[in-house]
Amino acid sequence: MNSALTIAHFTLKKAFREKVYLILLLATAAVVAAAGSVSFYQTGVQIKFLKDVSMFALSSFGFLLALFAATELLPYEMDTRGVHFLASKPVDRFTIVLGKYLALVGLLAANLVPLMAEVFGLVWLYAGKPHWDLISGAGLVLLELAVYGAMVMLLSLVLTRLVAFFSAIFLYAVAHLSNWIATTFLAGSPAWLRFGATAALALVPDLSHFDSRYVVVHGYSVPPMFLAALLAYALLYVAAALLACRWVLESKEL
Amino acid sequence: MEAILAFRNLTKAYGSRTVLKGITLELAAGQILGYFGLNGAGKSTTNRIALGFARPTSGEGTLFGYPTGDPRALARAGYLPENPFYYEYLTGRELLDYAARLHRLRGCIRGAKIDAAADRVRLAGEALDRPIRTYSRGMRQRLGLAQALVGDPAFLLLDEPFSGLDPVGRAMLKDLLREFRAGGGTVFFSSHQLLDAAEVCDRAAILHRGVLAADEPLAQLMARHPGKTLEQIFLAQVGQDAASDRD
Repeated sequence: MNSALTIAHFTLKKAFREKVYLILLLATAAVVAAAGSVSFYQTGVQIKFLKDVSMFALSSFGFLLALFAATELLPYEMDTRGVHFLASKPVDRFTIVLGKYLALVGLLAANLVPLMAEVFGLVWLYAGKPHWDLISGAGLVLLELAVYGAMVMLLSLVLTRLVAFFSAIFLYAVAHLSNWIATTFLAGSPAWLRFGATAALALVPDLSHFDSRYVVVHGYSVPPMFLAALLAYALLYVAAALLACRWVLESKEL
Repeated sequence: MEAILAFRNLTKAYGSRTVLKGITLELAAGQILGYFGLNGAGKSTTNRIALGFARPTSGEGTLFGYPTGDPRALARAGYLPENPFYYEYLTGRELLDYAARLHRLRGCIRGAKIDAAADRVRLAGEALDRPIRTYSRGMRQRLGLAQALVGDPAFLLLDEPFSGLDPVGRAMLKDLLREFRAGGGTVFFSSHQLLDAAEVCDRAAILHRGVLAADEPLAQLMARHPGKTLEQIFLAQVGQDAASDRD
């Protein structure tokens, strides 16, 4: 575990010194601030509007961050032969995968936490009281992206960069359309389509579960039991994806 | 005595192209083996198999008695790649810290090992705290050597170690290898710089078209070809193929 944390630590250090993530973060912070300014001039629904735009900005920013970072982390090491530095040290391939994944989660958290603090502060400013429910909403955003990031890392190991990138976008769409896929393709469709839909539903996590974060827009909290169930669901998919990454990396020649 | 690095009937094929054809080689502790061959002869493939980056198609390789790539063997090994690539945004010291942590060196020992490794390749001082992106080719090579040394290895695998080094750097490297051997260390290196290599290696192995054309103590090889340099012996071994293969 120490070696995985070391890999995560130095990967994050490199990422923070590159300006691209900072620019993305500042752009999203500006969107949230603009939403705050607009909602200031509205009456009645200003808090709901601010929360709505902020949660959307947070989700969109997080999605882009996870997409770019997860499709880049391992392929970058492979393409540049930087992976030889890691693989020549006494660490197994799973430790490399785990280290890179922890770096991804760290990168997501390090970018989402300041944004969430901005949203929290703005809502507190306008509402005159803290809205703690926002924290559970932000937690669900991070959890969703942690699952998505693990799946994208797996794609990035088995596909070329460009194909992995577009497949990851497709994956995000499919993972949010589980209900639609189930209702459209499971009943009354040809056998091959039913098989495809069943396989997709089994392999792709249902990320629409995490859309329940939007209840915080309406002033409700996400129930703790539901959060715990989602956490278990997320861990299951993350563990499966990382084990698959390990198997792929072990079978690859570096 | 058990071999530090051993290949037994090692064969590696990529599709229909066989790069290594039944290589058998053993390297005992305290030896420096120079591994020579034309471009594309299979030297890098051998190195990759030795560290577990690639698997042989048939045959087997062991390092410290473990299958190649085993972390227990890698804990006692240091590796310098041919074209060292490191995170450009880290400083030299940070990279050495990264390598030392992966070798599970702790606290003050880590700091001392980093300083010692940097000192051995004469990369100490201000240069060590600069981002790697500002390093020259020679400094990168020195940094590569330092990160290979930082874990206090008993075995070094060096791919083109003289590449990019100026005459002072090459002299430093030769001294370093002699000191390393004197301390009981074992070295396996591939190189095109045969004149430099001849000054440090105890044994020479010449790889040509995937097979070992020669593998014997350097003194014995030189004695069999009186008046010739290692380069001339090498060219005689690879024969008429040399000119065409180089292109």
